[in-house]
Amino acid sequence: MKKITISVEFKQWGHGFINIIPSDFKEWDPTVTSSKTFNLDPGDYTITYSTVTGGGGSISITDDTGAELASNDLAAGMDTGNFRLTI
Amino acid sequence: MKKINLIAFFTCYIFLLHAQQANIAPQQKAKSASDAANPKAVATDTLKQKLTKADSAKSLVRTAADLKSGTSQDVLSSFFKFAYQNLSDGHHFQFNSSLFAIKAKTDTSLWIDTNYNKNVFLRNMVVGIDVGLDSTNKFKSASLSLTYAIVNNRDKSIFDFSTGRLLDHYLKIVNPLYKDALQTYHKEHPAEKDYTNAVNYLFPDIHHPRPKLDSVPKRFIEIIDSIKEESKYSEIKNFKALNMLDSLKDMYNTISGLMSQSSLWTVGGKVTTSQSNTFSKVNFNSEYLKGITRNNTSMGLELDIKANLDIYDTTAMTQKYNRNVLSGTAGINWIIYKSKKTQKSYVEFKPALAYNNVLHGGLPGETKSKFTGDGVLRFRVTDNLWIPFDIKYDPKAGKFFGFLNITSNFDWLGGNKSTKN
Repeated sequence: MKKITISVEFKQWGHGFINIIPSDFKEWDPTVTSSKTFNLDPGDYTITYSTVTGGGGSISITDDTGAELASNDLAAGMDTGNFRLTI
Repeated sequence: MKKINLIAFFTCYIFLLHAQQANIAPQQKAKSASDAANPKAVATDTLKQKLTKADSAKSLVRTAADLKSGTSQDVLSSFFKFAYQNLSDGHHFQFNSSLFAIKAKTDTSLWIDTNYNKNVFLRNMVVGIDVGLDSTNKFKSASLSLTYAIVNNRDKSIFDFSTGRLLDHYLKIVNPLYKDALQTYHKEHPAEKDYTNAVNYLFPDIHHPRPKLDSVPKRFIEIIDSIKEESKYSEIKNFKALNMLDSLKDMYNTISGLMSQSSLWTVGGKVTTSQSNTFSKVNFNSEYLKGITRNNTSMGLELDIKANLDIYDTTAMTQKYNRNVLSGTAGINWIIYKSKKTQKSYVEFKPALAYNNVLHGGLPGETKSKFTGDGVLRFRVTDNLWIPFDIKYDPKAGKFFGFLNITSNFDWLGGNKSTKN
């Protein structure tokens, strides 16, 4: 098992819908700037997101040491994207 | 004298900013003290949710106000406005506030989105005071004004509440559907390439551009169509399998674009008192503003039409004149530059044709009616501070006149505010 933390920052306001595939985790849908930690078994994962924001923001993934594994900027309005991770 | 006025303005401005900060700090201190004394007071999930919801609504409303053009904020203030105007009849210090902004200072529950939506009258009614000084900085006049928006279709905060909720509603349905489809396909066909094409088609970004449609496996589309038949997805069963997020994105952009073109129509009145007369002037006015270009460009145009009826009780050369003046302006506000990313307006120029007609009580030597050219060039210095420069042209005299003004639209709501673009 390895811990990863997904963090979203909304510059002004926003709502995100974040999935981890494959996994049994229910979607995470943050409505304010926040982060959430997930415990994952070794394997390949896809993290998808769709967001609606005012002023944009960012989304990033860090491991249990705090090192950044991936990140993307979020465009204002509606935005989508995905990350591929090997744990 | 101008220097004195500018110093006075900045002193007032700094005072207001200080008052804003001072207002935040005690609230934060009081909250911390209260939390320490009675942790249960703020520990319930319900209260936290309400506060989060109210903060979120406040951010949203604040963003919506920032997106308004400077001209739009002049027509109807979202929160508070403090302005210094150097006009032909002297110097003016103005303060305007929406009734909503005043009430929200004492009733934070107004920031909960349902309450915000309900208070149409408070949001559309603006009260103002104006203190005028003559060229020797002596008191000249004081005014009280009321402005009400009888049509306010460009209230983007309401748009975001309604459209944002609608998008949330559909995303809550589409997102798990796509997740289920990707999980199912991944189990059946773990081959990297086809699965990656499916993911990148649904959730493209700058690092993962959308592949061609024919590279998306047919089996994946079948899976989506099959899951879509489940009763919980009945609302979106007519959406195309792969383009649901695109449809929502288009919907948001289209409605957002239309919003910026929507109309704002205000009616108002102003009563002015001077040292010599209790009621030296009564003004009735109406203003109509309508955007005529799409939102997602780096410029924009707004039609701005204004009509005034001024009823004066004037003393000139020891003789009293009761006079009525009808005036109107029609102009186009050209939003010369707005950030494509944040949609905030930064430079605007509004050329306008102005008409004045002295209906009754013309002063000796005064022309009964005349056309003049007006223009306002305004620069946004910060999110809150605009520097408008009024330019007037009198074709008869063949002269230009310029008046430097300073306008601050501030929200006084408390909390940090991003100014990044």
